[in-house]
Amino acid sequence: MASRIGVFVCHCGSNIGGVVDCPAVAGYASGLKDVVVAKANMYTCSTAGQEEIKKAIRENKLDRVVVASCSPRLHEPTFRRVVEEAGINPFLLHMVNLREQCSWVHMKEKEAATEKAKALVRMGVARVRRLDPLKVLEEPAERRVLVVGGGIAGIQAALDLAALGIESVLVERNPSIGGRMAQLDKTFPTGDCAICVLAPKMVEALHQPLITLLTYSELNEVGGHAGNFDVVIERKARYVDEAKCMGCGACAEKCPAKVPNEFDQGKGLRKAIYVPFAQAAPLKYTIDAASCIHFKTGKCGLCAKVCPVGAVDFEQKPRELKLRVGAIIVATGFDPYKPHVHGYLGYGEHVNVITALELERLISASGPTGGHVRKPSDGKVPRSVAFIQCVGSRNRKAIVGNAYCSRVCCMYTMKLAQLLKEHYSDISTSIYYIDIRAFGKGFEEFYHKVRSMSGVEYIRGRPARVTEDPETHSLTIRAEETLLNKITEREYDLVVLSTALVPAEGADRLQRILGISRSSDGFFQEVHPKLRPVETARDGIFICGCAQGPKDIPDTVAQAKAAASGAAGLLMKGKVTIDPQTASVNEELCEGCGLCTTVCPYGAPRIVDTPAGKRARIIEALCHGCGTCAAACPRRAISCRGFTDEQVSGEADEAFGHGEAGK
Amino acid sequence: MTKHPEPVDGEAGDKHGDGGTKMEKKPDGAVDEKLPDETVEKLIIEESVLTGKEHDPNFVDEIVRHGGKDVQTCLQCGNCTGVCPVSLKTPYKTRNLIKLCQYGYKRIFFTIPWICAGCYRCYEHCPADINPAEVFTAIRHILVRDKGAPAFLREMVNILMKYGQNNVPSDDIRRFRETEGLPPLWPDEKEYDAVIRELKLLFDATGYDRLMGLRKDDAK
Repeated sequence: MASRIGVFVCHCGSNIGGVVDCPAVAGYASGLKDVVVAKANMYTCSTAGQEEIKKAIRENKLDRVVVASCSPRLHEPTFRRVVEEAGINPFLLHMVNLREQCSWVHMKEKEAATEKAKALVRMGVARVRRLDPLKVLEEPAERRVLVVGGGIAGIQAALDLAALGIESVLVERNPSIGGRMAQLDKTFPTGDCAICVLAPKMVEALHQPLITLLTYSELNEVGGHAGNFDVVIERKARYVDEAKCMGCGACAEKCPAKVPNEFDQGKGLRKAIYVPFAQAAPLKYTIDAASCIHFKTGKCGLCAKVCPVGAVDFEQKPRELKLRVGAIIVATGFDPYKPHVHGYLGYGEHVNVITALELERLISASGPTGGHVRKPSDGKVPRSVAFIQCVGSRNRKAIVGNAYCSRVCCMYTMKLAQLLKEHYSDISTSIYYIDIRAFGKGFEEFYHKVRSMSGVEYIRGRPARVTEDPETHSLTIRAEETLLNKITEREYDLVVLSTALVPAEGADRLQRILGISRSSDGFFQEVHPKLRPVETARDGIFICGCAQGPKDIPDTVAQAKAAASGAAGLLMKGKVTIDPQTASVNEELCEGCGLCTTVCPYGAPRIVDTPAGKRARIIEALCHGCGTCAAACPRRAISCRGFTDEQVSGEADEAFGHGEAGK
Repeated sequence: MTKHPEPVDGEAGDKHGDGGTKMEKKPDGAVDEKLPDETVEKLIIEESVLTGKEHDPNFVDEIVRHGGKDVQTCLQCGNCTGVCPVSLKTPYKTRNLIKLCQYGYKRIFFTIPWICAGCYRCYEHCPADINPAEVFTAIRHILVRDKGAPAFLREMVNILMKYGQNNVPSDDIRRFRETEGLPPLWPDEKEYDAVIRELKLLFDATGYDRLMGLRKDDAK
């Protein structure tokens, strides 16, 4: 039976109509084979335009529709809904792009553009005639979210999900949640105490019944797809029974092994059995086997002897936990840049050159010096401090390779300069900068405040070298004060490197596990920088916080909330829909060679054993319909629904004048 | 305007206000006597308001074409100045010269690019991965093309062609060695005859001698 096709040509105001002669295109279309009705319209996407399509479908008993307007990216969902409401399968609609691919690119050749529009419509009609009705697939979704990373981003996302009644599993590789924010003393520009505002959220995450906290654990495997991911989490051996440990600390008191504390950036000491910081959540001790005397020599075991509840368990083994979750939020944060490659700045060589995060720990009341800033060389209070900005940021040299601005260093330096001034009123501070970026709410005002403080000096120039007096360990910075056109050589007691934010260690491993991409700066990549900022190219996986790129705490919290809302939006319905325009295998042709499994970017084809031998199968929920497998298949056994050979060559034949569109 | 005393080592850059006279005294002969004695300071002071007339919009493109890549993307951080041995001892700051390139202040470069020692330390440190040393090389190419080679360079090439080496002991040194009974530094200048022949061949083939004003087209 012949098809009954309707063609609707849109002027899109003057966007198309100003270049293409739309009534002429509609007139041409009405003469094409199987076309029952063809109309030109000012705005087809308007309510009136939509009603006209529905009316035409009813009056002419249409069974297929071509809309010649803008890109399908914009309005395909609109018109699919329109035809569906009029009783036609939504996949029997085809959109011809007369705007982006015709009028906008041929503005100065109106006649040729009209001819091209006619050809595009002719191709569209040939295609729509060959389309098959398809059905959107649905699948129940697991209403549980895996949150990877227990910093402020992960905590906030888990709390927001809990507020919506959605269960989450918060995985953190360190013994406590809290992340980088817990290491900070104060926050800019308001000067709030970081741990004072963070700790209540940590405690809430710990006690919230909808949040399962898995600390000292790592994500090892992810299978499945949006709505139903199967994940494997490794619970590393803590050698302390979490259920028994009360966090009394008797074990750490007796432990004889002292090692640098990572939480204090190595500036303080901890024991081999430890909690990283006082407000740790959960307050459960962990044995660091690498520095524990018992694990090295088989002796000691003092912690086990003094533990009042017998929680120490040297025999504990790592365990694997298998879970099904509907969505994954990646909140793995950042690491501070290691400035060793900048030999001329003297980090690791001159004892009084430290990083900003180290200063943060020194100035924090809970830090190794109790909040008293001391020169590493002699333990005295520094009288002059220099900050060097952009260490590891805005640097295109291959050895650094961080072209980006880390966004927070200007501001955290201001905060540290202010804190130093508050602690020691006679201290003088120089800040060597290239540009100051104070872009956030209240930031410029904070900059103004810090600049107006006596003893704080801004020097516009990137230091060329830092040299050390071998006796006094005081440091001399040579730099051009670019605004004076002079080279300066100034002496300081302490030099602080304002280091960049780089992707957290293990980001490449996580990228492989999750199958998501990273941008050239190494941070996880969002789908669209403006309109889909927390979604990844893999459906059901979201990113937030510094895992996506350097950002401050307010932006991190906002993104975490966005990611939680994205995950909730996916799972609240209880089911996920699957676009039916996926690849499918003709098992009679397939020989199970497996080439499709190697070319697919989404891992959708699998080789399975059937009575007839090995065959490829497509996991439809994973398939994005990209067609790579169909193109690669040497037996032409794979085709993509909506893009079959017949459909595509039918369209191509019209393009090259071999078609049968004319009646 | 007060006259400053002649700067000694370490007092680099202390010359604002009397620019223009120092350049002619530079021992390396960096100034071509035919070119205007303009220095950064003098131009900046005299042209206290830039009207755009001094601006050559093609200068940046020209530099890029001649190998001074990325000159537009300089962050003006000044790291190059801090590591530059010339900037340390003269009023010329590498960063500032790059800024003048970006501005298209071509006139200033009639004399300056020849003072770059080409040590590449600026390149080693530059966070924007620019190579200021090669920017100055590019400017040298442009200037030789536009204005011809400066006198000191022509003189250097002359010496090279004559002796097969670009450094010759001065007459004073020769006389001194003679009176002290020391052997001459070049006991046998004939050693270099082969070098000179090769150089002549190369210069002739590449037209370098013509560029340096050593050969008129009608000479051969």
